[in-house]
Amino acid sequence: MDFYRDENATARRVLGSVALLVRGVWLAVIVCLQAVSTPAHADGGSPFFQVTGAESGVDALPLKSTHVEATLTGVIAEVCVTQTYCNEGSRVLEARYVFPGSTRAAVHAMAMTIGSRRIEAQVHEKAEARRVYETAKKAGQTAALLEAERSNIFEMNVANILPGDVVTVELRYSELLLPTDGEYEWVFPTTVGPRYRRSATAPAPTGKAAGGAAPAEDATDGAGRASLTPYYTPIPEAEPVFTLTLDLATGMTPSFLECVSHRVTATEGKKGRTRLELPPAEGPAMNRDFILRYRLAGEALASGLLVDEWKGEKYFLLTLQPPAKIEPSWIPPRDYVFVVDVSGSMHGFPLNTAKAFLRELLLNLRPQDTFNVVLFAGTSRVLSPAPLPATPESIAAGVNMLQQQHGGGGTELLPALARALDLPRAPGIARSIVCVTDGFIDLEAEAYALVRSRLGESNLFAIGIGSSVNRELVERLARAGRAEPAVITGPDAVTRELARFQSLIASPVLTQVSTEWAGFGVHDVLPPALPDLLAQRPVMKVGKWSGPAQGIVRVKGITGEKTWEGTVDVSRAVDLGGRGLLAQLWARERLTELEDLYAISASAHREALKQRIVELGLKYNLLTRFTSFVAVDVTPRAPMDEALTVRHPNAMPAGMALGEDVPTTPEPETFALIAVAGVVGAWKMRKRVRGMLTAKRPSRDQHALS
Amino acid sequence: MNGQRQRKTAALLSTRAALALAIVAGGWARVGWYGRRLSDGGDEPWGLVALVAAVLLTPRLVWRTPPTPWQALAAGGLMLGVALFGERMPALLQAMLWILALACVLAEGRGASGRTALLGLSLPVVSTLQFYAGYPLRVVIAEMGRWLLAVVGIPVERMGVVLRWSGGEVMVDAPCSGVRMLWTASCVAAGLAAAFGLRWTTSLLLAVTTLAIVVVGNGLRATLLFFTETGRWANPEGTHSGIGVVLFTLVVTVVWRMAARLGRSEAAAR
Repeated sequence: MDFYRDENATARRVLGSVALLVRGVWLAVIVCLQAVSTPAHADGGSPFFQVTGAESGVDALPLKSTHVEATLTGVIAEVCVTQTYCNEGSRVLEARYVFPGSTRAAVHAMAMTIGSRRIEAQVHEKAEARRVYETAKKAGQTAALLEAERSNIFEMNVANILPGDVVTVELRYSELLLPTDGEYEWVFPTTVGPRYRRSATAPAPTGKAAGGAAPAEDATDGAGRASLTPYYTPIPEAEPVFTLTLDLATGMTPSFLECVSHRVTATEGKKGRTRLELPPAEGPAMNRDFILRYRLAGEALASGLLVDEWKGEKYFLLTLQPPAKIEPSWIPPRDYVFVVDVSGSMHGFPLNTAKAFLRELLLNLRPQDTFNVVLFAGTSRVLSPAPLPATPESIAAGVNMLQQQHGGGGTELLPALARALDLPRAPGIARSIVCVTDGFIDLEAEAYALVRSRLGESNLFAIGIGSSVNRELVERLARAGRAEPAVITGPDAVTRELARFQSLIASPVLTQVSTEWAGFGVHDVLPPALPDLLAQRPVMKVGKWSGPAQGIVRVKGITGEKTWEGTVDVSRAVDLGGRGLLAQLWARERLTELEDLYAISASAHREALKQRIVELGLKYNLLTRFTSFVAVDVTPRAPMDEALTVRHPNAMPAGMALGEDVPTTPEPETFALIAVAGVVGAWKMRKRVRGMLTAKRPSRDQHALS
Repeated sequence: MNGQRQRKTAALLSTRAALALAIVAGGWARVGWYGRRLSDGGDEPWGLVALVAAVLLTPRLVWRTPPTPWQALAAGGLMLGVALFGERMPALLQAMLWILALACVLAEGRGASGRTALLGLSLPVVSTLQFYAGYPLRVVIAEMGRWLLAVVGIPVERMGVVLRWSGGEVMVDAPCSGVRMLWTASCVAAGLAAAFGLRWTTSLLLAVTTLAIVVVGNGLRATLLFFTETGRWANPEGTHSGIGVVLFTLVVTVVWRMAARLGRSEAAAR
């Protein structure tokens, strides 16, 4: 059979079909556009603000508010965080919320309130606490469980929140505040940045200490559960109301007070107290850390000895004003290795800030210095196989290499650190490694172990950049690197941090520091040995003591090219009257030490260290990665196995976006391609139609079957 | 006499239409699956365009002509196969056999190859294509980009589907594979094969040529976008999609010219 005897007839068929097709597509487009533009009230909800996975009757955002009350007294901050969970749906809920904490926080108490019932939480070994919680959950009892994955990431679980319930959970912590260059900084972290997750694949650290280091428990926590991972949403409505009140009880009016992250109101009270309030904000408030900086009048520093007694044991906290920095007459040449994170999470302002910071650092190198640059994302690249002299040409090459980065790929910090630590250097020249990252990886322990085992005579400065930096990584790296951490929250902080960094490098405040306890019976003193004091910051020691409160404490060291000695008379110590604050701070310092040891220990020794951490947590009522707080309301309230689990989202750190990665070249949408094909078809058929109009119209016979 | 023929034609028309309807009804489970796949977000719903095109490009005279016994037998056999062994097959394979049974009924006269291809393309195949052919296509595109950039004097290293150069990286990721361009261009080629009444062999030649044209076009597109994504060229808003649209316009134009030329050659041969 031949249906196509006449060419014009074919053309008409094609034309007719294409026209119908175009009409069909057009109709589909109209329908789609109408569907998209239909007002939210038309069907009861806008598709753009739909919570993924939400079901009818389920309150997907049960955490309604976070209120913080902080009191900053001298070098100690006492903080109470109140989270209010409310179920506005019709289904029973279990709420989960991953949130950050300060890296130096000693979380020592938790309480849950339902209506008029207040239940004080008990600290248990992690698995036991989880078991208690799960049992209560199955029994229909309202329960709260607070766990820690790292020293600064917590997860709150609240089971069996009945419709209409308001459950408040209070957690209390204390932390040590040490001023730097006379300036105090208190940070309340608000959100957890997404971590680049990957197993530790850097070459295993060598040496006795880390030779058999087991991989960190990044996949599971101590209780064998999967790691706590925050969950994000771009929906601003998901953010709970965030309010904060802060009492600055320093006894004197601060000469300088600035909240660099949020808009707060400050009022002066009696006896040198200052009260700050953060009211509920209209815009997002929990997408960046709350950062308060202040100086006391006359640059006064809390210096001296505090003592306290708790559960039959005596504790002390020594803070001593360091000497004024003395610039030595001659500063020897130095070799710098700049390790810069150019991964996807650094895309945008973190990378731009890093570029500006590194550029200034490079341009300020002295002619006698040498340097190298290691850039890392999924892989790492080195500017030169050997240290480069700080000539204008090599500095320009370093700056240029960095300027071409846009931010993309994973965050393979460990291989990059290993590479930097292995780079050759000139003999007799001290090396400083400067690691710049946002720290959004989950291998803090491995990075710590690597730096500690391979650092040699170098030191490593860790610089975190971003609005919500992983401070644990930055601080841990700097601690392992025997140097200082720094956090740059925005481009405006570059100049300040640059000056500080150069000052640290050029002349340490105090070196070869030693402490003498004349007539004062101390034990369990932390830190056991003081590293070189690079910044203008008080010498700090915390420990236990026994016997009478008498004697002299002497701290000696070398400043510039001279010997320095500072003394404290123990008999003039201030007694805190059994509040337990110093016990908590001592326990927190001890915990940091044990966790660092745990990170670098061989697997055979880990169980013993874990047991010591558990004992510490249980004795001092401390939240650790192996101990948790659990509170159970013994009244059964919900039918068994009915609760739905809801994970409350975190705000994405400001300046950061999910999915921003390596630039790609996606093709146009299918709809655009179909439209293009339609336009080309119409254009082609237009020519055909013109031809048909000039041709003779075919007879009916030409359509007949052959 | 003429009236008798018309009545007979009308009766015959219902036979083919009835068979097509029977196949649709017999594969009702597949229709349900098809509907779910088009609406569940797993694939784009544009397969309906190909389905509508296949129906519209089927001449009325085909509907009026009774199916041959072989056509009915083949369609029946395929439906029986689906009924007996469908449970053990992936859903897409079941749907392909079902749509092939429908094609057996509609594949009459010249242009049948194009209509069959349109019916096949109407299935939700883009995600599957992306899964199985996406990565090889991306590798080809990345390699072509590396080669083209080397020709213009830009040394680029290809690592898998990532183009690395001294200033950074550009990735040919899944949305860059060209599968959507391939599907749309294939629909255009199939529609033209149906409209120009191309034979099976000529249609196959057109399909292969279309694949080559799409790969080359997508390679060019990715190469041009390398310049904007790396900041070598200014990248005002709309440049990205503009380059894609212009390149696809060229691709469709070339495919159209190719199909028209093949159509003219076939007509001349007849």
